[in-house]
Amino acid sequence: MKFTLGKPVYVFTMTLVWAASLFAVDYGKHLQPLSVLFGMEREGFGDAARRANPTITLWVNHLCCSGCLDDLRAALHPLIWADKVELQKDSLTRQVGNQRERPLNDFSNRVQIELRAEDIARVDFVALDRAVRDAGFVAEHIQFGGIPHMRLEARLPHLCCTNMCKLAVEEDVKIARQPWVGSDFKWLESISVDRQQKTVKAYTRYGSIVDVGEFIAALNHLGFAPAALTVSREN
Amino acid sequence: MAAVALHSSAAQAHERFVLHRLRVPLQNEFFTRSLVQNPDMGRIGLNVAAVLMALLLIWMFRFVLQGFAEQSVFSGFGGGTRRAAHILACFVTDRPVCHRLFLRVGEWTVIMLLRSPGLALMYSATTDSLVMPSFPLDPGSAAIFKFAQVGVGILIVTQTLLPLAGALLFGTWLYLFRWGWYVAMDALPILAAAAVYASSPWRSHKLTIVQLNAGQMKWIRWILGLSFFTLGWLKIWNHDLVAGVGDNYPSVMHDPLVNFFAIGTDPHYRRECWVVAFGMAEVFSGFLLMIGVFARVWSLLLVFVMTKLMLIDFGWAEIPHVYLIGPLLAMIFSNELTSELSRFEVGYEEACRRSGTVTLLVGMILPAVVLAILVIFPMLELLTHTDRLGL
Repeated sequence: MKFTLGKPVYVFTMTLVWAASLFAVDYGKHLQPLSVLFGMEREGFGDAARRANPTITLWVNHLCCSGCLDDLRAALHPLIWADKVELQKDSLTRQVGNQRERPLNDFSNRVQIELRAEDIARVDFVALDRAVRDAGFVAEHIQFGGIPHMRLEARLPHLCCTNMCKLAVEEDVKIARQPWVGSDFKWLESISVDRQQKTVKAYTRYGSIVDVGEFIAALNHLGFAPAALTVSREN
Repeated sequence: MAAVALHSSAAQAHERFVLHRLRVPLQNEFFTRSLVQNPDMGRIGLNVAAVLMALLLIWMFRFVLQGFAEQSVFSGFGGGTRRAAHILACFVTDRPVCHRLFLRVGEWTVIMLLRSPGLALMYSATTDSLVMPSFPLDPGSAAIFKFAQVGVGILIVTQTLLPLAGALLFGTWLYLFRWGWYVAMDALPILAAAAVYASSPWRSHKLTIVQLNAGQMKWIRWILGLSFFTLGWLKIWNHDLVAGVGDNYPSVMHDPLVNFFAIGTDPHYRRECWVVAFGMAEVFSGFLLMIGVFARVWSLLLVFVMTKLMLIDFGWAEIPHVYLIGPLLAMIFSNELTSELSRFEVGYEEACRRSGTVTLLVGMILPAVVLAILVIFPMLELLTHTDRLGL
């Protein structure tokens, strides 16, 4: 076949093939509804994104009966910002429930905590995690969604020096989000560390669902225990 | 005029790296009131339409004005001055400039246009981004996309199979819709280079390409014009983003042209009017580029601003401005510029011969007035009725 100028059909065909290939790679790497793949929901223009209330979802690998749920509800009761605590009816499948492909029993469930918009500033994910643990549970994932543009702010009591502590957080989070490390951080856009205020701010990708538990675990892995982890709207 | 572009400057600054957090909320109802009920937005529209109309009229009568200047003003000067004035007049009115240095620089700008996007693509790959650092890649598939980008970059830098490189850029741009149409619109400028690649010979690696034909220049002009035109409207739609940049970089709010567009508006709505005037200035520049009116002058101003932003204000984060600077430079130094209004001018000259000066004047003034009104007001009104809940 001889390619010549004046054959726009070749260019047109190659354009479509290439675009389709990129979509295919994307779809192959992250199986998701096509509406999300084509940006109809992710960008916040879709009805789903617009209507969703800010919601925390706890993925608990043992939540087998109403007794477990009652204990968990009782543990969350002191958190006044937690408006509604509901069990998600559709139980987890192994594939969906555990994204790291570890075996998952059939006693797992998801709990949704709905928030009122005016209470978002009060939310403290460290307090939530602690309350869940104090009740004898562990949340495999703590997901937060419903705000298209937001940032997490972790307060680290120990962040004493610029050259070491600050750098450690900046560099190690950068490493932790690399695909070969095994961590996801698909929601993370960028982070900034403020030594003066002893905070680490994680800016999220637009319209993403944030795995807060992953962020806490990463900070713990780096040797830092956040005293508080709050969320704020961006613009 | 230089300030015209300064407004666009902030507009190009992308939200990922440029601070854009609103210090004080905007009065949102300002943007959702119809032009009939919103005299301030209507006034900005009128100001912009008036300037646009004036420029269109000057363009229509440019040959008359040039003739007058050369025969009356410069007739008493020496040959060197008259030649310089003639070259300057040709430059401003987008006519071919016959000067050796101009032609040599023009050849270099084509090389710059052809090759610089390759470097920007590679830089984006090293910053885990697609096309430009503002669009971060998903970590799960980042490696594949980064290698693909480097592959396209190599094709471009080595000038190999340029039509393929053009198709790959077009395809990548289509893929950007996956992250939302707003993202794809933001990346429109890369299509200017893609159009040049797609219309290049397959054996491009054997050729020294230092000139673009009139068709290619027209594509560049259209794509760049459309980019500014679209992004200008989007700035009014997504007003908080632009106002946030203004809050964090107050110096951009002192731009003379933007402030000129906001003349006669209520100081109570200063920031809101600035956002609208800012977006309108970009719409204005984009439209003039699209129809090929004073394309060289606008391109020159835009190159100045984009370069300043990249090298002085925002640094490496704004390296995607290369996607704009390359084609704009090529347009400045091209002798193949065309205008969408030229067909009207031919018709009017015919009419003049047959019907006389009055017909000519009416025939040239009326379209300028109608065009200026149609470009500005319908879309501005439409934007006041759009839903911004998804932002």
